[in-house]
Amino acid sequence: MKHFDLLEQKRKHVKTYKKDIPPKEIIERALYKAWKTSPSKNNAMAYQALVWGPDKEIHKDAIHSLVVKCHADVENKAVADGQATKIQGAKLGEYENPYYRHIKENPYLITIHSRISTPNKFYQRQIETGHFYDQGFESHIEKIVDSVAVEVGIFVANLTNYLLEEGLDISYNSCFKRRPEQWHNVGLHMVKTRPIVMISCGYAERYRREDLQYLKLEHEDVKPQIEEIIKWI
Amino acid sequence: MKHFDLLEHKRKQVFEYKDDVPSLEKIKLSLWQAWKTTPSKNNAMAYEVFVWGPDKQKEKEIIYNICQNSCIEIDHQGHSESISKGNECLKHIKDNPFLFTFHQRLATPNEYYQHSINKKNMYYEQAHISEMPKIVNSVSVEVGLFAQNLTTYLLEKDIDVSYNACFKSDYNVWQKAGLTNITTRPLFMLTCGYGKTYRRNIGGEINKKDIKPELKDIITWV
Repeated sequence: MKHFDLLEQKRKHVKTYKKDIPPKEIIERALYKAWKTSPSKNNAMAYQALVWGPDKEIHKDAIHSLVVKCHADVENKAVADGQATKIQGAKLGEYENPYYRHIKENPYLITIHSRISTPNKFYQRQIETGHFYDQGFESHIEKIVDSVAVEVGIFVANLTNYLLEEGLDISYNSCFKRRPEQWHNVGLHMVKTRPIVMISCGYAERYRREDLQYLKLEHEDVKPQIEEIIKWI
Repeated sequence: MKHFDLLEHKRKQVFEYKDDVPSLEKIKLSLWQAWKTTPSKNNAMAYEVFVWGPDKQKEKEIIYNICQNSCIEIDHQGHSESISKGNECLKHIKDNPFLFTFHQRLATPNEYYQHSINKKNMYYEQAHISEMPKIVNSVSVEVGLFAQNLTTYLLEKDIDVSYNACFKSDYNVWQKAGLTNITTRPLFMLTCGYGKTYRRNIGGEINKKDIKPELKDIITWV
């Protein structure tokens, strides 16, 4: 199947996953392919993917709590700053955005974080001649996070493709607390660096667009026109 | 060709492009395909892509200089005595048929989200100028998704691509250099055309030592 058709037909945001667990080999193969085919500035790959498997339910609940907290904090801050007048009232166990449920209930969750990298032999030699390898310094993690995030997007796009090719479904999330200390506070001490994005995968039970179709709202939730995104200078 | 084989065989950083210009139809189709298949949080697509075509040589020279100055400045940050003269591998930024620069964009909610804002108190952060610095990380991830999809569609048409992430991200620098149409933060750039020489073919034996980190350094099973 061509890339365009694969994405058009198979990439759909999952609301809930089936209980079936895809074989670990499929996930490992897709991750290997994404690692192998994703390029990086200075070959640094200044990010790392943490894979939370089917036995990590407690951890996924904790990560989901950071998603709900982020939702609540963003809205509270908007009201405090005068950008909004009301909040939706996101609160664990009371009101949780149903489209974040895939973060806690999935066979596999992959969270991607910043990473301090080590220069390869080629760049070690470049450093000797005056090149600055900013990916090697903890103090530069925040300074370079935007360009690392673009690379993470490239990696995730490739991973998406390899998982879809295997017949799996995936969903993304970028609403979560971004400081490692906040992850420690909910018991996730293995997280040492700032998270950048997360992706869940498995076999879909229901897609978000099925909700929209049921509510006859699909025609309202459309992306911006191409003229708004692509500008010919 | 499968996605893996396409990337393994065809995606190679270009050092120098041929003078041949890919057809406008192929570029437009690839951009449309990338736009159509790249998802975005809240369907906002809080970024825009500027396309600098074959007739924009003067503007590309300006962008190239911004990149080289950034490169030299960063090298000086690391070594105050650095005698860096920039990076010869940035040549593709000024000599190419097409250059795409990605920038942040203030979005407008679609009908669905407007209803959520009005009736369900949803906060749509992508529409607020004050939120732009706060959400730039997540927008950058989406730019990466778009750039990879665009890459795939161009490679499928036998058009080569190259990336660059070394440039001044303050748009005021771009304006002062004469690019007054840049009013938001640049996030990434991508060039395309037909490769004449690739980076992997220059530099000799030392290039073989330019390898990526091992898989175990990037993927950790918790």
